[in-house]
Amino acid sequence: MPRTPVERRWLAGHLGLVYLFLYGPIVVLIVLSFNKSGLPTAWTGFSTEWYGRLAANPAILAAARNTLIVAVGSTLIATAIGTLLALGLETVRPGPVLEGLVFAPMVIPDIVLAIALLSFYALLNVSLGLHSIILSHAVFNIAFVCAVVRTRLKHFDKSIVEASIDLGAGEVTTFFRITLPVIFPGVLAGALLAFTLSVDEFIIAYFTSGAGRASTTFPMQIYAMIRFGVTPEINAVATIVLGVSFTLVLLSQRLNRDFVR
Amino acid sequence: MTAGPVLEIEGATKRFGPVAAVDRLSLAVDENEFFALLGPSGCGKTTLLRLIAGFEQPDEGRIRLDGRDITAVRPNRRPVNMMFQSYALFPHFSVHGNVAYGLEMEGLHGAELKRRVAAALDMVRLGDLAGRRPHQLSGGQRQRVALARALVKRPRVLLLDEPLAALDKKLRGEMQLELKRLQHETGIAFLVVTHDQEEALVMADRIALLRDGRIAQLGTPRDLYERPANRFAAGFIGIMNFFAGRLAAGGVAVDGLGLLPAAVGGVAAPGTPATLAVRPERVRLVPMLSAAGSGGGLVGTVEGIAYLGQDLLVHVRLAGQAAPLIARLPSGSAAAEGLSEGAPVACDWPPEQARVLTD
Amino acid sequence: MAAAERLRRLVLLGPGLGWLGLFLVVPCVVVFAYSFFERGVYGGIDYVFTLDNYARAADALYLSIFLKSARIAALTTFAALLVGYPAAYLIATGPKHRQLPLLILVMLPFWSNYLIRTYAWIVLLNREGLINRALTGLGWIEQPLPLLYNDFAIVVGLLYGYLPFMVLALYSSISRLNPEMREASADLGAPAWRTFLRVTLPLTLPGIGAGSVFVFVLSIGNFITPDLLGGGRSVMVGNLIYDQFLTARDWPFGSSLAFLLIGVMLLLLFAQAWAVRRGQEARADA
Repeated sequence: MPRTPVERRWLAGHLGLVYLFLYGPIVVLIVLSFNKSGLPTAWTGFSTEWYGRLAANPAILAAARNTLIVAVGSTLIATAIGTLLALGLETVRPGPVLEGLVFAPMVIPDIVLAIALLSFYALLNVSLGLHSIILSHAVFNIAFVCAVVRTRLKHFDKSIVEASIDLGAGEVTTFFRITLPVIFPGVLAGALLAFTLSVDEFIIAYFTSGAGRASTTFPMQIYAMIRFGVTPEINAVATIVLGVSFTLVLLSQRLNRDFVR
Repeated sequence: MTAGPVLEIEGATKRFGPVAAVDRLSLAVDENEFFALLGPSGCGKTTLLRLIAGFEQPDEGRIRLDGRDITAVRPNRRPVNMMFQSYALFPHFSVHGNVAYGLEMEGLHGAELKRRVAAALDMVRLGDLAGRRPHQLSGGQRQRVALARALVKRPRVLLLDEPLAALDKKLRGEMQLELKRLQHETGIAFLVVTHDQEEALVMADRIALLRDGRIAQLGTPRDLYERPANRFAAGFIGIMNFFAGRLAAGGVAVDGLGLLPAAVGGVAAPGTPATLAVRPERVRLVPMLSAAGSGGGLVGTVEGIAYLGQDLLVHVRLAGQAAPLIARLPSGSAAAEGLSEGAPVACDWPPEQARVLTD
Repeated sequence: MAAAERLRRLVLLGPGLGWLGLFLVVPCVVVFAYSFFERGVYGGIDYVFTLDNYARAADALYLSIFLKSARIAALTTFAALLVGYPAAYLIATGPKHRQLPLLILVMLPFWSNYLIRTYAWIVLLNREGLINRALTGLGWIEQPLPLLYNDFAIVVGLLYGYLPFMVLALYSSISRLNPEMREASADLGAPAWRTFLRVTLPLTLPGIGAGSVFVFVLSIGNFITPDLLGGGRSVMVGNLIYDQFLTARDWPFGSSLAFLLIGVMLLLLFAQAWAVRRGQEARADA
């Protein structure tokens, strides 16, 4: 490559700064979460006090429980429907309209989707609560699961489906014994992605949760804490959330990589 | 066992849009026969195979197996199995699992299942690889697993889609003989789709040469090679010399070359446009001392000599002809010794070895 | 057999398309319909047809917010390009076995909670935040800089959120470049910077286009960053829509704003798709 070592060093330095930019704030939060004083102004010693306070905070625990319910619910729905959708799209040749429809939930600004769903629910007089959040989250999760599974399907040798039928298996048997096991890493990766997105999602949950405290999700709780009352527990919250996200994403990556072999 | 053919196709037509991939095609495959569907890409051979397997439905026509109409029968219920071009092995099953799959679908299990799987693997000589996964096998081994998987179900007909296309030349030669052996051993009718005419000649008992969805010629390898019925068949199989001219007594009259001898059937009237077709190995070359007349026979100039080891392929330029005459003779023969590039040479052939085609 | 095929398609496509139809298309149609009605006295909907909402949106006040959003989004996109291109370039032209890990490292923050990441910048940028303390500590400034609750903070927050996206888009374009083209350029006598300007940059235009459109579109519709980092006023379109729905309770007007936003987005996406197709045709002719 016609590039001098000097150039490479400049570029490498730049890349290092980029990583610093990306991870610096994260590291700061993690460090702060262990700061005894809990304030960014002074480091007064290592402490897990804030994690302890967190565990005893009923509002946060309730919000976490709600988020878990919503995430699991919307992920289950989205994984099943999204996988079927991906399989369907790969058998027909989807025109631009169909592609656009399946792509739309991923690009539409979340605030627009939030108000649209709220208007829709209001019009139908649907009661709002965790269930409406689950239905709403499933919308973009279906699109994401579908996208991930479709990528996996590009490497899928369709003739093994025909081979299975040729050997005497019916459609349903073929789906459960051949198709699903072979695409399973992709399905799992999609599910993990959907779970992560649902856990992190704020604005749609905020609009479609209704007024009750019983349907406050974790991000809604975090937003309230940031906006209206910053306590040091939030750093502990942040660290835990980051840890969980990173683990899930790395796991999802691992699954996808193992299969591309 | 029924006395008739095991597989019959009657007037099958399959259209994709305005194009008929298979066009009113009829043929019959006998029991214990090695049958080849040969043709260039796009001729409809793969479509026909998929019609027999049941993955496509014919727009017109019927398909019968042992006399029974199976046109409406779903592919997983037909006693017909296929070896796919990509082998289509299940990546998440072992070799044993792959071969056992079809038997499991029949409801077989336990010791009987294991016995039949083992027998099938032994037949393709893969007995000690039963525990391996497909990605751990070579291309040739994967193919044999695909064969075993289909054969273990003892279908009435085994369909093979370009079975040797993915193999290198040496392996291809070995597998050709291997497939013949398997067919003899199992007694199952094999229906092979291929675009390689040499392969079809080596392996098949009978060949159907397809073109644009129709049969151009159906016969034994010898029939197709020595008695091609039309220009397409003559040109597709092996190398052939063609001379365009008009029918005359005793042969074909070609402008600029005179009467070329051939066995004329006598059905068509003299003067009809006809093509004379003669194989390179039937052409006799006699080196001439000079370009002076050799008694009115065909005279040309040697344009090039290709050494093939055992044989020579000689290109002879003839006056007024665009394409050279190609002759094949053994390297060690007397005629071969006398040949050199640029030298004049006299060409002829036994009239009964030249065919006259009027299509 | 055709009936079986149709059943198959229904089972596979039905649930997904049905869900998206019911929970995406219909709500959007509802919003579109609302934008043509009037706001009721108590905050509901008065089903009287009017174009007033769109007329109001063209008002100087709201127009300026739209323009401001576009300006901030453009700044973010530009910054993302400047910062992201060298990073993507180094990764794409580096050793093959390091590319995936480096990319994953870039993308990882993208998958964590957006709120948390934005909060981190509140910590860093405020008057007693780490950056100001570091700068005063080093003696570079006397007074703490107003880094938070302004446009600067919003751009930083948006850049932080969407930079990984840009790097990924650029990487995918740069890594597809044939290295022999650069070598050919050098062989023909071009110095490195000219090779970059005349060979590398033009050939990676598709990646630049894709990345830019996505970062712009995501930035202009963003709500959280301007809300947390912008100072709590209706700074950008997202905040405006939020206010109309939850504070002013003027759903029709909010709907019209939402639809204008979607309109801008679709325009950009179509323009990009058209440009991509033009580029492909041009390359096919070459």
